[in-house]
Amino acid sequence: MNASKVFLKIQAGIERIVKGYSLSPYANEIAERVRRRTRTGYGLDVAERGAKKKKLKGLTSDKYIKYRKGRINTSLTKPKKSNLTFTGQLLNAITGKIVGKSIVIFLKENRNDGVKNSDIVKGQEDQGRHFFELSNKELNGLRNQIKKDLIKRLKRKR
Amino acid sequence: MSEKNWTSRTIKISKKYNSEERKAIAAQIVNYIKDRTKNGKGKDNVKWTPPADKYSKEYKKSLEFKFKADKSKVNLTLTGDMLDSIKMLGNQEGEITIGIPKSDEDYGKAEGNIRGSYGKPRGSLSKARDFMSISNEEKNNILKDFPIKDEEKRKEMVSIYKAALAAAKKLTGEKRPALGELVFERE
Repeated sequence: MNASKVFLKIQAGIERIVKGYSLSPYANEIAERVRRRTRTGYGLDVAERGAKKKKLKGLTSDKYIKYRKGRINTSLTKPKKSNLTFTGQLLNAITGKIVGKSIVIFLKENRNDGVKNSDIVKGQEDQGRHFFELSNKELNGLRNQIKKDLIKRLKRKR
Repeated sequence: MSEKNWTSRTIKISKKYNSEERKAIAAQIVNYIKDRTKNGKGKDNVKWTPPADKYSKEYKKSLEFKFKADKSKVNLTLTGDMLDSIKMLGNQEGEITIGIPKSDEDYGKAEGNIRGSYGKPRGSLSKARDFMSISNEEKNNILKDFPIKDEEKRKEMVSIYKAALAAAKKLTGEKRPALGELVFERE
């Protein structure tokens, strides 16, 4: 079989696989990866998929840092640590769900203080703390996992 | 950090492989190294030797350690970014080079693990975790998918690799109503 016939055969195979392909195995992993990255104190350079990772803007108000001391009730942060964590509710709310063939990463609105998580995200983004998307490495990591899976399936079909 | 790229590994392969085949082979080697490391193993798929087989007491007390998904394995994985930084650095007749570019923000972590230095000026061999090296046996296992004597099979593997890469990009990039998509919903 010549090269172009081989390529066409592979292309047809991959189109068949991709038509029925579900991203659902990755839903929880994506949510967890964003959560973990943010907890380590990193967000994104800009609010765009594939942006570079960037350290979250520090806590600049001494008054706020003092406020945090003694009020933090989670081991996931410290008074001076900028990782969008106070009670832990915001990042714990990041969830992946399947809608048809798509993955939707969203924030559950399940806070116990009457504040909306989506409002907090907007407020943080307005202050330059972008975190709610995939960074370049996270995106490449996800693509690589999908690519690995597709290669495995295509090899099985040979 | 020194001038040398401590993460870079040049792997000798047959000169009969063309550039496209070398790219596909490099991708397979990188994936193998990532999977092996995530399983808590190094060269020859063997666990790290003591004391490198345990995280330091200092690291275990840190805030970062609390966020690790799997605390039972020394798998060099917190966010996954360091391992996702490994790529092909060089592609020449008879050899491929893989590693993490020195300009990459995760390079320092990788060097620290490989040298056993972990942010200190000097490395300690006993604490080193050289996750980037592969043995000849590991390399030859990967090369079984690219047999020198079977040109058709090699072409097929390259086609598979290219088609899978293009499909993965479509699935995670712009909106494609017929395929799955990834959406971050803010409201």
